[in-house]
Amino acid sequence: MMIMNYMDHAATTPVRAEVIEAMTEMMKSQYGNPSSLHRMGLQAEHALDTARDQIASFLSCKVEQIVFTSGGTEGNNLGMRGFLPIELPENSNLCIGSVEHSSVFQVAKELERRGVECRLLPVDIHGRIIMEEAVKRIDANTILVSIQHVNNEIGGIQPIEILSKQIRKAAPKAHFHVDGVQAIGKIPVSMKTLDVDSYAFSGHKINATKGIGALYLKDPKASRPILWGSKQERGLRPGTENVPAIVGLGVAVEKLNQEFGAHQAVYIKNRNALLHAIETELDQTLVNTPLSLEEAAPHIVSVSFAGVKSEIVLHMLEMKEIYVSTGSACSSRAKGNRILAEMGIASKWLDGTLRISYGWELGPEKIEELVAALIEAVGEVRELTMR
Amino acid sequence: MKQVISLSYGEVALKGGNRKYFVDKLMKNLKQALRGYETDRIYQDRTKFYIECPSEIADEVYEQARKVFGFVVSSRAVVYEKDPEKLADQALEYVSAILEKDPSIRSFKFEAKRNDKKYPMKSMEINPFLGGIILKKFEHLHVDVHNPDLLVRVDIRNAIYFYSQKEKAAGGLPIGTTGRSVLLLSGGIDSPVAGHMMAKRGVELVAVNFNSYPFTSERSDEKVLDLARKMIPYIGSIDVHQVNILPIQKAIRMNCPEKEMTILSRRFMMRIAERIAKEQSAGSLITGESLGQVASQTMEGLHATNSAVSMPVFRPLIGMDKTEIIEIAQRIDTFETSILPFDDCCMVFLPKHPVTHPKLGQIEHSESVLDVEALLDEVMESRKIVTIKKDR
Repeated sequence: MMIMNYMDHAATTPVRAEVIEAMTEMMKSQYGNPSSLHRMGLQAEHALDTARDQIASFLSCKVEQIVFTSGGTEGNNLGMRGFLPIELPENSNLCIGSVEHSSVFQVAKELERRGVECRLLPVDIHGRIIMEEAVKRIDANTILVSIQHVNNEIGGIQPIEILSKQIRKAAPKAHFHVDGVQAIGKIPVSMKTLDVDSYAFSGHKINATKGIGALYLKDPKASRPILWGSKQERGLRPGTENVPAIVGLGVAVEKLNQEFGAHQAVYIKNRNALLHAIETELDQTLVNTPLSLEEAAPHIVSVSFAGVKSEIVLHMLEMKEIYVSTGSACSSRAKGNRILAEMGIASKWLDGTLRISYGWELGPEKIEELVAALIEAVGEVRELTMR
Repeated sequence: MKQVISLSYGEVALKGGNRKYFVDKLMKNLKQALRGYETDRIYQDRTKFYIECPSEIADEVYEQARKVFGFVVSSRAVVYEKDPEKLADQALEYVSAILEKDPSIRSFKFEAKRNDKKYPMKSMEINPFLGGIILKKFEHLHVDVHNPDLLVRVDIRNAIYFYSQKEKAAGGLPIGTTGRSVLLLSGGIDSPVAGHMMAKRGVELVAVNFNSYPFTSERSDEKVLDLARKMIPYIGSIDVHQVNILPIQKAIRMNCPEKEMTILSRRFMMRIAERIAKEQSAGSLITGESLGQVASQTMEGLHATNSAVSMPVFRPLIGMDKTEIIEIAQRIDTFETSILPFDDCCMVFLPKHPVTHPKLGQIEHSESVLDVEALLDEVMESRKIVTIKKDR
C-alpha cells in the first residue's frame, strides 16, 4: 500500500498525538461542566484556565483577552461584529482586503446589506494590499477594517503593522480585526507588536481538532456577543465550553510555542526544495506565492501550470495518495477562483492552479515524491489537451 | 372511523388474459414501495387496492403509494362494515367529521356506486336515502347535484368506502411488466427524465454512468448516484454501472480528428450500454437525447451513434423542448440535483468545433484505426456496480 502524502495543510491538519491524548483524558475522566459547583466542575474550569494561559502566553497577551470560539469563521464574525454599535452610524464604511476568506468577505457583504458601505482594498500580484490605494479608502467614517494576516491561497503576508498605523491615524474610531487563521504557527505572531483590536484563529490548522478556535480581543469589555445565552466566556460566547477541544487547542499551542523554530526549519527546507524543483523541472509554470520569506508564510506554495486543468492533476495525484488543493477548500468548489483573479493573475493560469501546503512533520522525500508525480501528471495532461 | 388509502388501476384492467399477471406485479411493486413503513394491511377489494396504516404515517404512505406506476387514481377513504342497517349512521358519522373540519360547506351530493350487485339497495336508491338523512340532521345544508361543496362518494364492495376527493396518481404500467432496459444516465437534466418516462411504461431500469477519472472527480459519480436516489420513489431500486471510459477517450484523442471526439465517444458509450444490456438480459437502451439540443443530437449525429448498436434505442424526450423536460424534472424532483455544478465525462476533451453533421462513413473510417473490442474489454474490466434502493 502507498503511504499517504498529505500536502493540504492549509485546508486542515492531522491532529497530533499529544492533543488526542489530552482530549481523550478529558473525555474519559474529567468530563465535568465548568459551570458546575462541585469538584468535577472546578477541575474542568482549571483545564480551561490552563489552556487560556497557554494561548495568552503564545500570543503575548493577557488571559482575559482570549475568548474560545468554534473556529475561524466564528472568530471572524465575533471579531468583526462584536464591536459594532446596535445602530450603525450613517455614512459609515468598512474596509476589507479584496482577497479575504469568505468568513470575512460575507460578513462585510451582510453589513453592506445593512447600509454600511463596503470598500475593498486592492492587492498586487502577490496578494499584498497596495498601501497607496488603502490610504485612499480608509477615512474618518471607517468603522471597521478587517484584513487577513496570511493569505490562504498563496501564503502572502499582509503588512499588518503598517496598516495598523495608517488606520489609527486616518480612522481613530475604526475597529481593526485580523484573520490570523493561516498565520498562527507559520509566522511569528505577537499581540505586543501587532496593534490590532481583535485577532482570530482556528484549532484545526495547527494540529488541534475542528470546531475549536480562539479570538484575541484587545478590549473584551467593549465587545458584545453575537450569540445569546449564559455567562460563559464572560458572556461573549455563551454555551457550555467545549472543554476537551479547548484543552486540545491549549496543548497544540503549547507544542507550537516549543517547536516553532524547528517547524520553521522544515517548512523552509520543503519550500526551497519545491520552488527549486518547479523552476528547474517543470516548464510553463507561474509561482503565485511571493518568493521572499518576508512576504510569504513558508507553508504554502501556489503554482499555476499553463494548459492544464488543475483539478485533473489533483485527481491524478490523489490516485497516488498525494493530496493537494486547487485553491482554498472553502472556495475551490465555487465557480472560478475569486482570490487569484483579484490578484490580477492572467486567466490562462487560473484554471491550472494548485496550492501545495505541507506540514512540519513531512520530510524532504515527500517533496521529491510530489515533484515526481507532478511532472508525470502535468506531462500526461498536457500531452492530451495541448495537442 | 377507519381511514384507508385507496388506489385504482387503469390500463392494467384492460390487459385481458394477462390481467392477473399485471395485477400481481402491481401488488408486489406497491408492497415493495411501502417496505419500511409500518402499514397494517395492504389488500385488494375487487378492482381496487387499499392500504390501512397508522394515521401518523398516512400522509407519507399516501404520497409514496401514488407514485407507484400502474395506479391512475388515488384517494383517502373511510372504510365501514357492509351492513345496510348501519349505512345511515355511517354516512352521518362520515359527513359530520367533514363538516367539523370545514364548516363553510353548504351544499352536498351523494354518488353511490354498487360494485357488489348483490347489495340490497341500488345506487339510485342509496343517493336520495342518504341525502334525506343528512338534510334532516343538518338544516343548513342543501342538495346541489351540479356543483356541490361536498361530493360524497359511496363505494359498495366487500366493505363500504366513503370518500370525497380523488387525485391523479402516477399512471402508466407496473414496472417490470414491459421488460428491462439500460439507461445511459449522466449527471444532467435529461437522462433521469428519460428513465422516468420509460419506467412509467413498465420498464425496469438498469443504469450505466460514464466517468473519466482522474479527469473527472469522484464527486461527479456521487452526484449521479444522488440522482439515481431521487428516482427511487418511482422506480423502487436501480443498479448503476459505473464505467471509466478514459482509456477510450485517450485513444480517440490521440488517433482521431478532434472535432469527432464527442460523436466517437458516444458511439463507445452506446456499445458499452449494449454490452451491459446483453449481460443483464435487457432488450433496449434509453437515452435522454432531444433532437437538435446539442451538436451530437442532430439527426446525423443520432444516426452515427445509433449505428454503433443493433438494439432498439428509446429516446422518449426526442420531441420535447428543454423547458418541457425541466418541468418534468421539477415534478419528479431530480432537477435540483441535476443542476449542481460538477463536470461529467462529456465535458472532458470537449472539441472546440464539434462536427454537427457527421457522415457515418467518415466516422466509421476515423474509428477504424482503433481496436474497438479491446478498448471495450479494457473499460468493462474496471466497471463497478452500485445498487441504489430505498434506504429505510
